[in-house]
Amino acid sequence: MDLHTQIMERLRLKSELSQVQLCLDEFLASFFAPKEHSQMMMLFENLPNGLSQVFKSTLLKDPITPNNQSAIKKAGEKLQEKLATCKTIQITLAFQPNETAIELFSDWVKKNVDGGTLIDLQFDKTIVGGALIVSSGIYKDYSVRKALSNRFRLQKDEIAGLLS
Amino acid sequence: MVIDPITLIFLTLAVTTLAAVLFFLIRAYALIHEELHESQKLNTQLQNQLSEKPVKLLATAHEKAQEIIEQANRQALTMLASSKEYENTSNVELRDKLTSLEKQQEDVFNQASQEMKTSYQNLLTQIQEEDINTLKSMTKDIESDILADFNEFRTSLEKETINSEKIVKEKIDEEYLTLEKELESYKKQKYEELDQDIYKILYRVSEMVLSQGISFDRHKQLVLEALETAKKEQVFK
Repeated sequence: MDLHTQIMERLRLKSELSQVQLCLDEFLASFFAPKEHSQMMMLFENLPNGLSQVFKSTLLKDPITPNNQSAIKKAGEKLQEKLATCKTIQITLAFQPNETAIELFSDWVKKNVDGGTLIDLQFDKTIVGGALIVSSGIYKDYSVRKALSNRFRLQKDEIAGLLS
Repeated sequence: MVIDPITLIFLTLAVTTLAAVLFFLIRAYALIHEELHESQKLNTQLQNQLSEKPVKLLATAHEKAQEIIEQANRQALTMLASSKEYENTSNVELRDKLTSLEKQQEDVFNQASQEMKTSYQNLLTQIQEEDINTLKSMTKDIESDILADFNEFRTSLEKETINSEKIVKEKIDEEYLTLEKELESYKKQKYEELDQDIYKILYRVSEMVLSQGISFDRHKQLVLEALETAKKEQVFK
């Protein structure tokens, strides 16, 4: 399994992707600077969801030497390019999801949409429940707020009758 | 060569005659020369005499001229002295005459000004009287004019007031109707706004109640349902 596939398996959110991209940028920017192997590994230390381990076991498996230097740099740049083309779906929720919920939604997206699609998670309390979804420029409102608004509009007279 | 004795005698006689003539001529020349010298001397003497004479004449002429000038000066001084005297006397006379003339003029002016003053005062009094009369007549005219104008103004004002009252009444009626309509529409709008607000309040309360009432699992379920619906609606193309 190549590095990109391994990373995409673990990536779930756009924020995680941004973290990975930042680490890669820093790694490639300081590639030719005289650093020790442990220092290079430290760059990827704070990545979530086992991503740190993936980098350590692949890109930084062996210390960088003049022999492997070029190959490692190429692999890093290739990964950078692939990650830049990642597809995302923006989902706005009415609650703060925990890891289980994030995992649940990510699994659903990867299973039902595309394995390489990430979630751009947003939070808006006013939507009450459900979700707002934006994908490939299409906006859809599946929130409880909208359902409630529709209900009020349709049953206005009934509600007015209840009030009087 | 043989010379004829007659010729010789003739020649000798001729030479002797010529010598005698020449002798007389020389003598005559010497005499004439002496005479000429004498006459030249005389001439020189005469010339000297003549050149001395004009100087003397000039000196005498100068002396005479000096005398004449001195005499003339003396005469001029006497004349000046006499003319000064005359001037002094004439000045005094002139001053006296001027003083008397001034007095005369003063008297004349005083008299004339007095006369003018009197005539001016008379004229002023006359003008004042005339003005008072004119003013009196003008006041009467103005009074009558004002009274006539006032009467006219009062009648027109009465008419205008009546007309204005009518117009104002009409305007008030129109304004009242407009205001009544505006008030009605405003009341209607306010009622509608109130209705909307009640719905909004109700809606917000419902939102709050619902958001508190939805459990974490239900939230997850709602999101999954949303994703399923999106998939069905082919949002993830």
